Amino acid sequence: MTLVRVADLLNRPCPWLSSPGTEGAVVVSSRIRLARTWADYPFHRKLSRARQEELTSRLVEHLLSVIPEGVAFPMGGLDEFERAALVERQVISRELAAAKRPGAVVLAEERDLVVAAMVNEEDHLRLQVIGPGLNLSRLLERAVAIDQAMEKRVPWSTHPRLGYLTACHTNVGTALRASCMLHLPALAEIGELKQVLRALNVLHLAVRGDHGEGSEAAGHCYQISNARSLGHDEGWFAVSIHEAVGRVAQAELLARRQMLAKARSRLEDKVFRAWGLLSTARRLTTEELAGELSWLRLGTALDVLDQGTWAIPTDRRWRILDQLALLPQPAHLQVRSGTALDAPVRDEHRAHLVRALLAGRSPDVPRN
Amino acid sequence: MPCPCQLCPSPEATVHLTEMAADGSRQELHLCRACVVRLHLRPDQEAPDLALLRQQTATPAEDPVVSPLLCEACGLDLASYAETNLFGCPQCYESFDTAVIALLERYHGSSTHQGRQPLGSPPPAPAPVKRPRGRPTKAARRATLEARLKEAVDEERFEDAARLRDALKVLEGNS
Ligand SMILES: [Zn+2]
Ligand SMILES: [Zn+2]
Repeated sequence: MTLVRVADLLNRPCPWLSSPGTEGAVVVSSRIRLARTWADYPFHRKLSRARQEELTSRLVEHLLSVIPEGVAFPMGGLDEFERAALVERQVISRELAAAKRPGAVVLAEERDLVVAAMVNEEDHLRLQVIGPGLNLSRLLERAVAIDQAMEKRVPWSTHPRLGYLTACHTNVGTALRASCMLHLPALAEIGELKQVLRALNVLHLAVRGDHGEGSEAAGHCYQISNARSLGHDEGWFAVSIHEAVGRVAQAELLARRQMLAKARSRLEDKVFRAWGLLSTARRLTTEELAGELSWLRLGTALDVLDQGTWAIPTDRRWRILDQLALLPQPAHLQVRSGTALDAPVRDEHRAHLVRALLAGRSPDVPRN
Repeated sequence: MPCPCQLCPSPEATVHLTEMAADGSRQELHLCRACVVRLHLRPDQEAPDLALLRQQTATPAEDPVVSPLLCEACGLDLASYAETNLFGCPQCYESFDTAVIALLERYHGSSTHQGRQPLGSPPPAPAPVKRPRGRPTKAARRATLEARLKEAVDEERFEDAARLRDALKVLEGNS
């Protein structure tokens, strides 16, 4: 098995979190998650530490045989920042990163998709496939293929009436969660966001801030997913999310056209202020960056920023915007500089990195 | 004057739920604390589906030998599920049968899986009202409980061990 350090991983782009073009870059990324539990073991709260270790290593072994490009990261081998960096890349959950018990993630980059299999999270296996834009059916196909290979090796807990059994009743049945990350600045700006998102609750869909449960949507990024998992098949849930996300994306595009038509100078003011701040600031907090980056993305989608201001061609701009969302996050900064950094120092490093990226330079980080 | 719980043999219902039905008639349901916890009801939640709960009042309380609030396979009790939303083992779904079905109906609007099954397993069964299921003999139950108790002690899960010991006592006392 090849030895890969998280630090090496962080130098690579996350194609699964990049979506210029699709739906006007409204739908940033999509994710399919299947939860599975091994019939030979109780769930983690009733499983001794020794047997959790055993379960983790056995599941990782099977995953590595089934996912050819897979690389395993046992949680015990990662420090606090490396775990947090994997959360920032959206391949593991906050829960797995914070858990004191044994666990692991198997990661595999497959072209623009990533397979991220979390072991001994809330369920024994949380198999995720993540990809750019709105493309749930393709992700579901890949997840099911991996699951079919796994079930030849591992007897999953199932019930003839209830389907796949999970530690929590909210995931039983298909144990599927389909979710999409959307960038919705114009809906927020014209004050229609709450109304649009409230309509989703009626459809039994869940809406969260951009880093999962309980987090704030600093950069106008929202995750839409199915709340229910029982009573319909996998394809039905994926299609219902696809359709709901498509409708929200259309509403966002309409709101953007409205802003262009009726509030162009206000829109330009926001975008150019964001440009001014990000291209000159010497210290930037995470929230500040997320908020301003949101306007820069919108300005790029609507072609508001002229070449005289930002001398970078549009297709390269999207790549830079994706890097700006990823690399200046706190754990990324600290893993890359190889040491813990106090908040003011992080803010300096962040501002330095943002200026370099905006200027089209390679993302070097000052080393301590 | 205390009224009895309508879902279990408990003599005292402390929670009283009412709902206006579509035809304007008033429906009432009286439950004890244990059942409120068991069914995962919370005062701040929307009104429960009384019709669904009533279906369960029609189910007579089963064999009282082993507490229905304890999973024999892993020692989890249902009240602790209500606190954490984490079951202990796959067997919990059988052990808390009625409560689980009610929970799933409330959350998912369904209790019947329609999707994939692992290769080689039988197609999903149509939703039965009540699955017929032979109850294990007393000796078999004692053996299971004793095995779980030994496991719990070995793994130093003392709370589970205490609960399993209680369940064994109830089993022995009821001969
Ligand atoms: Zn009762
Ligand atoms: Zn159990």
